[in-house]
Amino acid sequence: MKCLAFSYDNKIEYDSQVNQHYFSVKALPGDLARQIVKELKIEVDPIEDSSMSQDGFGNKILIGHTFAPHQHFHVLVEGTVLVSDERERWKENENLSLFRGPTYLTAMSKEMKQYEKQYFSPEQIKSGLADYMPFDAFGIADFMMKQLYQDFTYEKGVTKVNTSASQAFSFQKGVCQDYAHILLAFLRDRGYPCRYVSGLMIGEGETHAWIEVFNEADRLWYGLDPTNNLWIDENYIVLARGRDYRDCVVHKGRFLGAAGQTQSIKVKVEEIEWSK
Amino acid sequence: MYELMDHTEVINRLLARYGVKFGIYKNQVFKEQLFPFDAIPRIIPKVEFDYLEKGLKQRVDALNQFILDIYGKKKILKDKVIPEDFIYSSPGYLPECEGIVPPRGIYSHISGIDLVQGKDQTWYILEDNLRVPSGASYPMIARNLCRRADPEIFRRFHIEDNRNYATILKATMDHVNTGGINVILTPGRYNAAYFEHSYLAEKAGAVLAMNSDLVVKGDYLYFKDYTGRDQKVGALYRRISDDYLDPMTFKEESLIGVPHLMDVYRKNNVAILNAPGNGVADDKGIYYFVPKMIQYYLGEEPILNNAPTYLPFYEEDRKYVLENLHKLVIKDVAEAGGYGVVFGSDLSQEELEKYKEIMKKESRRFIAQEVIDFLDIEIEDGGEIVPRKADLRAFVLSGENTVVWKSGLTRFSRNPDSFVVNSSQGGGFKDTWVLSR
Repeated sequence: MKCLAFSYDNKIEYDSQVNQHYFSVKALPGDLARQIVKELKIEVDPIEDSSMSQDGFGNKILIGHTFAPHQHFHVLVEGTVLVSDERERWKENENLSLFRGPTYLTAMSKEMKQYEKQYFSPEQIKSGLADYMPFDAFGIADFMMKQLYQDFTYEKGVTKVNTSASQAFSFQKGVCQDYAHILLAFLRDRGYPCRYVSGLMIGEGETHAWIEVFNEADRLWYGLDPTNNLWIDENYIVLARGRDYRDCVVHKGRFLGAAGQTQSIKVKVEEIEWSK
Repeated sequence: MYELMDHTEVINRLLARYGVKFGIYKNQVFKEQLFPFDAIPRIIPKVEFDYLEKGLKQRVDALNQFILDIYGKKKILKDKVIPEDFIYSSPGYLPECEGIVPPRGIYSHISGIDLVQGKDQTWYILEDNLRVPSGASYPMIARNLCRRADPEIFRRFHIEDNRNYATILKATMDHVNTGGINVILTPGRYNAAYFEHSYLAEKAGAVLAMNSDLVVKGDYLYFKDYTGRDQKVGALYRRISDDYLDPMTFKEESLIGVPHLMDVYRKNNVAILNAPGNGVADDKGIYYFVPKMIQYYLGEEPILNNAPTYLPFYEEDRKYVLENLHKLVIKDVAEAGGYGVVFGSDLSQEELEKYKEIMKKESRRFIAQEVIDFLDIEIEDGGEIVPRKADLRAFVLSGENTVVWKSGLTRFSRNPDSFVVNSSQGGGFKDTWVLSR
């Protein structure tokens, strides 16, 4: 168990005034089997109205608006979270099928099918699995992650927020969101329920994304971070879960005004001593 | 009743002035059309309608339980009455609605159920429209104009008065209202159905609003009245589709929605009619399962039948469909409004083979139905009375009780060879008389 102190700091400057500004912030960690939120502080400026809400996946959202003209916007979320490496158990009424079907962002392309044939045949997976890994959803996901990690290069600026798995795949480059979408696409093509997770990670200056795959054998969700070729442990804080990026957008804004904007997001996660 | 034909022209002129029209997309171009009115009413005897009423209530009650179940406990999926994949792959299923129990547990408040009558007098359900079914205002205003044109006829026949639709609509809104005013949300006066929005608002005593009149503050939805004062909204009858309802939840580019509406709705602080997410039950693929829903939720046998339908997803059905495609109707489950409907008999051998190939690959994308030989009804065409195909959209309102409106929208096809009666395909409409004795 670790105690992590985090902050999510999003500053937006507009080059002219905007108004009728609505926002949703999905950067509020909730209590889960693996994490308990000890402190949480949210600041939004300027703000005229706000309220707490929730989406269909159970993710918490801060919603609100600012109608008066403004030229900057600032969201700050700070907190401390106790994190363990416990895995989420299947919950009654949880929709596995929903996480099994491809979405627009996680659909397979011909190129991906070819790659799948070449590297992910059952025989290859069986022979390539480490001795300690079982041949189940988790084992297969781990195998796929390792292969993808070898063949892909982390590079910013190649992909955008709405880049699909198949586009990113053709570049062989991308960021955490693309790594997650590609792994989800391959797992879903095999029929394994898996979900997109947005969150924070120790030592990472931005929000992060990874996946969780459902393992039928023990009915647990296993977290894997394909960008870093790592299993999810107590260095990660979950913010939101969904089918893909679109269900987990950390900050959504909508305003009137033809303004250009510059955004600077700073994330800090560090381990602190936990004193009761 | 044929006397009413003398007034066809005047009534159509008045309807045009009121703005009774609808919009259609043809070859990617949006066009507005008048909705031609035929003065010869369709008459449904009391006994016949009593039977329809029972069957429609049963069907809509089951559909409502189904939607509540899908976004809640999912019993029908656990019991494997409907394969899960049919639900989660349906474009009408919205994960954003998971876990929502709408005020009073009602999802489909205003249901438009399309029926046809076969040559053997049997009624068949063609489609369940549970999203934003339109059309009730057309027979309402047509009846009004006919009564004015020839009051005498309405003394001679014993006809159920259909001008009570707005009263039933108001009661339905009041029943689910969470405390506040009733509002009808319209995308605006350039919308093809704007006449209906404004007419229903006026008759039901609801406020007609556009999205710019509405705002979410804190945990509630408010209407800004002309003095700038905020009035809490308790029930919102929205006439825009789910996709455009809330740009912060659904399509971001929507300019006709209300930001954060879904958030206050999820908190049960406003009722939305019809509830978002209903599309899951008016999917053509799900239609196949409605008789099973009736048995499952109500423990009753369906009173009204579906048109004989095959689901290529099931092997047995697929075999039949592939062998008999030339005489079946093929419907693409993702399309609505008469689009994506193909008659096997119209297809060349080559096209048939092509469809068979697609069906083998995408077995969930289509349903196939037997062609029903419709009972013709009379319409006037250039002074002559001629037989044409027609359907009936019955309106079922679910409030404290489930009520079937004793009228309905009868749509007919102008083309003597066409079975497709959707207004989007250029047909006309009639008043529907339900006899009271």
